Amino acid sequence: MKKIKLLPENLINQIAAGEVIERPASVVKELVENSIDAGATRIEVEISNGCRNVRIADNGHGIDKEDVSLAFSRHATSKIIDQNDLWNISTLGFRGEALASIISVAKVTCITKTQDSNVGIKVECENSEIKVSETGCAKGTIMEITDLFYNIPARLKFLKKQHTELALISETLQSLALANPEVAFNLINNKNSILKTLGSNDIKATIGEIYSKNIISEFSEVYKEDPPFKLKVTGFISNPDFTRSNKKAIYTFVNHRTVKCPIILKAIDMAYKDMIASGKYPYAVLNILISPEEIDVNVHPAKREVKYRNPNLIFNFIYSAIKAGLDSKAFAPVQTDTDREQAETISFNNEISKQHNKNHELKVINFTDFNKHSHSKTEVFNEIEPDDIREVVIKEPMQSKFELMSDYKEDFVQKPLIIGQLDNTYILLQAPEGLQVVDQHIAHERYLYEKLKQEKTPASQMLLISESVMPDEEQIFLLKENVNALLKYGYELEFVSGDTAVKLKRVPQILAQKDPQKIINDLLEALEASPDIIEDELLMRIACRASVKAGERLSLRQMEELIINWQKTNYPKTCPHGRKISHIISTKEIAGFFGRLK
Amino acid sequence: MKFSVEKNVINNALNIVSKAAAARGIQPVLSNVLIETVENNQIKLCATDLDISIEMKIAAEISEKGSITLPAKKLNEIISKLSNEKVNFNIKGEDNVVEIKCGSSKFDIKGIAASEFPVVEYPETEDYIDIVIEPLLKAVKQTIFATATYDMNNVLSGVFCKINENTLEMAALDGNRLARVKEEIENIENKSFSVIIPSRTLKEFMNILSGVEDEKVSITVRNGQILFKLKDRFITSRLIEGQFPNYEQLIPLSNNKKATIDKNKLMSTLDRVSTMVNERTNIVKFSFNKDNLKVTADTPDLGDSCDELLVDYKNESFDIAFNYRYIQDFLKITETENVVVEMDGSLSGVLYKSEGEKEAVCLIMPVQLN
Ligand SMILES: Nc1ncnc2c1ncn2[C@@H]1O[C@H](COP(=O)(O)OP(=O)(O)OP(=O)(O)O)[C@@H](O)[C@H]1O
Ligand SMILES: [Mg+2]
Repeated sequence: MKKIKLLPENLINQIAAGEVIERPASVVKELVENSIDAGATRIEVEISNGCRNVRIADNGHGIDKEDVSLAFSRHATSKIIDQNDLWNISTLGFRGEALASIISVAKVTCITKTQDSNVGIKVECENSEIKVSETGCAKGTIMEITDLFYNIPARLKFLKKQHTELALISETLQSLALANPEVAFNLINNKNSILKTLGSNDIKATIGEIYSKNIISEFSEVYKEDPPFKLKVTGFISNPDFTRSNKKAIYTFVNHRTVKCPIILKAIDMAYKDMIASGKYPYAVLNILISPEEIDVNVHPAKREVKYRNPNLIFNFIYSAIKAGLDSKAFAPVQTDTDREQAETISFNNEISKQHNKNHELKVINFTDFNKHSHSKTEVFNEIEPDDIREVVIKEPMQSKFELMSDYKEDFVQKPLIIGQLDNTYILLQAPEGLQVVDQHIAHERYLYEKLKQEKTPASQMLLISESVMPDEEQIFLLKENVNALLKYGYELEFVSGDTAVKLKRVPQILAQKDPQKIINDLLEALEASPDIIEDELLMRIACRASVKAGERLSLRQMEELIINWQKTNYPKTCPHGRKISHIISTKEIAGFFGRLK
Repeated sequence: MKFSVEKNVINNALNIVSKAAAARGIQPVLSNVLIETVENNQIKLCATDLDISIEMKIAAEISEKGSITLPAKKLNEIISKLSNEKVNFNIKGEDNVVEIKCGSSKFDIKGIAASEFPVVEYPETEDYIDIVIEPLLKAVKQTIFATATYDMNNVLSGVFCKINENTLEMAALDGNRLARVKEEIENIENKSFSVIIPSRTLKEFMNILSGVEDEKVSITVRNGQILFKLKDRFITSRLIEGQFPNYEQLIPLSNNKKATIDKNKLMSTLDRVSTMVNERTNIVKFSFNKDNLKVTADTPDLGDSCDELLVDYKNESFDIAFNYRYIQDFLKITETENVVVEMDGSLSGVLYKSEGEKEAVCLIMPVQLN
């Protein structure tokens, strides 16, 4: 008996639709993309009936009377003609599958009118049967989808709760709105507008409309062009101190198409490395324009992915564009000319006072003849004590002198206007915008971390003795496994007591005076990280351990030095773990508090 | 309570005693000075932050017995500004207000009842060892700089101090270096003890001891404290409990490469060269050649520095690197014209000694350069 049969067409369509139309959000995506392809500048999406009814109205060019029935059949498209076009796609649609899929899983009414025709057309589809009639309407297209999945109970069962589906629709539309800032979108659920953009063709404004007005101040602009490769990326990314804990706010568009592609995500990840904590993600809206023949968009049923002819090129391009965007140190205090003049004279005076210090020091040292000058005994002790005993990591005037001078060459050292230290933990300084509060530990940590990364060959201090630590067996194993890697960073370990305890024999020079127990604990923590980030984790912990602590009193000189060093770092906003370093209380806010704002 | 006292006398005493008062206390009374009348027309001044305590007796004319505590800082300030006359103290009424009068000035200052002040015992008759102050001061000076700073309860944050037969031995080490000194003392009754004194309080003692006229100080150890007794005062300090590392075995005995260097010249060489030292690591390199020492430092992207000096060195050429601050620390406490440096390998400890000095050594671990 004959067992193989050809399937009826509407079943074929339903099976195919399974790939394109997974849920209400896919309907919205396909239809809005059609509207965009039709050159619409205003698109309204209305949701009802638990997300099973979708009405989309656009002011695009409409469908010709002759095309209308074809539009709803499979593999009918106005967007490509032959195979060559597949490599040169500039529209969002190209397969001619979306409408055919939708009518096989929902009831659809389409009302459309082109510029030239004086009468509109109404198309009603149910069970893939099409009925066409004439009607009066404005230019554009209205697609009304009702009872989605009415004929596929299985699909219906898999729909999530209404608010989940709505959230997915909203996400889809956000993405389309960000990709098309020249189009005004309005998403309405049960008569309430839940997302609205004005189509100002200004991506900044659109970002503001989608999140909140002021959010843009947390973003940096990305702009990079590579004419020979016809590559361009524009958009905005959030600064490292403005993150969220999922990737949902990362929007990437390739030729206006929303794609989630691993290469771009990886480039973003790498660019933010050392700046945000793991598990945190930035906001990003990146519009990548690339010549169509460089990509293959026909690799995913819902067109969510693209393939690149030259993925490395794309990766490097995006990575460097984002890096450059983040590098613009717009937030470092901007100094006026008078400030600079002042800075110059202050630094000059400083130079003199340092000279003084030095002489003073020499004098006292020569005076240490203990036995002969009994009256100077007190002085002797004062001399050996203050800084030698409580050694502070930030260096005294003498050492910094040359560093300051080297800066003179690069560009001006702007002497920070330090107000004081709060709670022995925060440095307060006067910034152009107002009062800047800097966490001394985190700022110093950022500086040391960047220095350590630059310095590939750390020196290490040999230790005379060091207390032994008894980690558990697994940790001993971990340490043993990494003995050689650790040597590279300046740690030498000695396993003692039958390998149950471990001691340090030498440590990175910068940690010479730190608590050996804590150093080993840091090591263990770092080694537990995944292998590809162990180096960074190690350096982060060295920087953290070596930097000034919260609660440590700093002299004015030390604060200045710390602030200058910190301001010179590449990423002064956050520490390598993503903690914020500084906070500005604007003069405006302060004035407002005291009623000085008129 | 009512007494009068010479301004200079009480001013001087307050300066000393208030060093022990807590700067900002969890208990307000610890920021106060206890004032109490005692026999023989004397008053006793006392302050403590529970780690260290200082008690001092001064002459006064007492007309009414009593005691009170007053804020150390304020009291100090008031007294220092008074004219050089007799100062009269008088407790008025019940509410702990003390009236201070001197010449034409008058102050009312509010205190806290003496009963709230922690009891500090200063036994007059313990088993004290009498030690000449000068060698003690010297020993402290030669060791205290090498204490560790990372944890104030760690044994390494204190100075180990041992008295046995006729030697006073002190040692401090922070893992990177060791300073050890032995001084000969008179110990007629042959007493002995070994303790670890926190560097912070030891510093305070030394400041006080270096300012007194007494030739000797009496020392005893009891209840986890060390007591220093002088003619007119007592000082006590908390001790650090624990086992001090056996440092003697760390001191190398066969460092064969030996250089003798002019101390002042080395000091100024280090000072010059260190201007180019990498501010985070403080590393300077020493290159020894026959009768010559070259000292260099560099900081990537900034530049380098180099200086040479004549030394007495007869062994093979040899390179080694140090944290220059450790060497400076040693040079600062050296009183001889020359220092002797005894080395073995580039990665093993180096002994720094004052020339002719046998028992005072500073062992400094080098830095390994990659
Ligand atoms: N809103 C609209 N305005 C104007 N023309 C439309 C609209 N929607 C659909 N069309 C026409 O209908 C055709 C079929 O649309 P459909 O979405 O099925 O296929 P497509 O967009 O060409 O390809 P894809 O399946 O990749 O989306 C389109 O090629 C277009 O000509
Ligand atoms: Mg389409």
